[in-house]
Amino acid sequence: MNDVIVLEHVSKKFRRLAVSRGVTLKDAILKGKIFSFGRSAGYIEALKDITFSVPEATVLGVIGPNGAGKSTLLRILAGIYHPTSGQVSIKGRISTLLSLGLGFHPEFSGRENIMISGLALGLSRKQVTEISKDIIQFAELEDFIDAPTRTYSSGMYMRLAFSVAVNVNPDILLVDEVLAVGDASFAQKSRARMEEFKSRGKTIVLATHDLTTVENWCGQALFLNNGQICGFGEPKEIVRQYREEVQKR
Amino acid sequence: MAAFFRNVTIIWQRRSLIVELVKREVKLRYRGTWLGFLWSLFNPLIMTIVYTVVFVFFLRVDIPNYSVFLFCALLPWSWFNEAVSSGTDCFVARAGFVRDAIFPTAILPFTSVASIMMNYVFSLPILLIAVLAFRVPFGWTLLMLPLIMAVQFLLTLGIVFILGTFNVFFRDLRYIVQNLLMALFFLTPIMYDIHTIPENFWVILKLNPMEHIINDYRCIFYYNTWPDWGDTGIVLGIGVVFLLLGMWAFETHKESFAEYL
Repeated sequence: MNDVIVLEHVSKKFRRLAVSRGVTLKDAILKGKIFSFGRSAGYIEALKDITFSVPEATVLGVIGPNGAGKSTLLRILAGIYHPTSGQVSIKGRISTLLSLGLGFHPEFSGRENIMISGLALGLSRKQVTEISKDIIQFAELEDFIDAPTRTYSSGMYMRLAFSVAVNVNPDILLVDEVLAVGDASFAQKSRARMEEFKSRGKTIVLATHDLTTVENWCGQALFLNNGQICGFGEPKEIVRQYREEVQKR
Repeated sequence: MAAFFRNVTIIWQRRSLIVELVKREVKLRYRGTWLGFLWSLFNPLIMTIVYTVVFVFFLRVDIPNYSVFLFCALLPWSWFNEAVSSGTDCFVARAGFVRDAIFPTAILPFTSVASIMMNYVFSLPILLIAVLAFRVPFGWTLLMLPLIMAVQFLLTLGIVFILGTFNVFFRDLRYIVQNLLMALFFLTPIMYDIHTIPENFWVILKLNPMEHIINDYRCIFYYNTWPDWGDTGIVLGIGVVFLLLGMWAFETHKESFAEYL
């Protein structure tokens, strides 16, 4: 099978930022740091030497404690962050559901945001118009679609974002946590949609704390801890390993 | 150079997204207001009246048809002023697009300059009415307007690419820029005629590319002459240099935008 996601020795360092971002004039004068902004406070290594690959039509579950690097990994896959070192290669169009910011403009209506997100993901205006009915219907937002998204509840916001992400027909879908926001019926519906996705040979990467989902539904699992891979392979095995790790602490 | 071609290609390929964003932002500006779009006509109209009263009746400026003299220069200046100050924030203000979604960030400076340009375009009818009302002679030279606007657009876009990029890392920039723009407003012959100031200051004033652009607008709307092609060409050159530098700066820094926003 074809590997659609390949990571080789990927590391990501972040500058440690204090609340007063970068360097203020006070620091510059007192400590003589005028030309070193950002460099002084040290680094956090969010991902360390990550190597793995994901074949086509796989659902990969990414698990690990908070701060393990799950979100950083997804952002690297999406091309939003760039690795400090190592190689990332992705085949196909990506669609993301990364956080509750989700790249919607709060003042624009749901419909306007659908158009903008769709165009940003590389669809044509015509294609977006064609799918927007499905998006609105799936998100169950017929009554609110022309209201500014800032007036949406977090559930509505998430439903719209999910609906856009799955309806733009991507090859790879990256999902970070957010499914927890929807109610039971929407969770079921989105699960069904992802199932359908999987059966059409699409690849999904899902970062989650819901271990049952990973065990029952993912084809492969990746256990991250402190930015390193602790396990990669058969979901039941990896989940067991993760549970053991949690108990040790 | 490679950065330049890459970004120009992205802007061209993503034109439908740019058009959509500009349309939405222009609509957003007056959304929820009762007069809506009419505000973009009223704003310059009211400004014209106030300035005319102050300068012609109170201060007794002896420039003929001062309203037109001022307004054909003040309107493009407002475009430049607002485009540069809001363009400095173009990445910071759209952190959601940069950080949480797959989005071509290279189009943001363009969108920023273009959506503010629309204000200028909407105020043109008022300017033309003023030209007619004060019986200022005009002619074929008016056809040069799109060309002058294009030069101004390029220059502004170059500046916005540079400032927008560095503002992500150095947030003091927006305050520095606001103050510089204020100073530049008075150092550009907008409210006054360059001929009324001592000639030895001209050299300094003419270092400012906006001086030449403003002069071009005045040529076509007020003096009914052709723009100064030599000066315009130089400004175009400066604009291209800024754009090359700006796109290069953007290209070398864009990868860390998401981390700083």
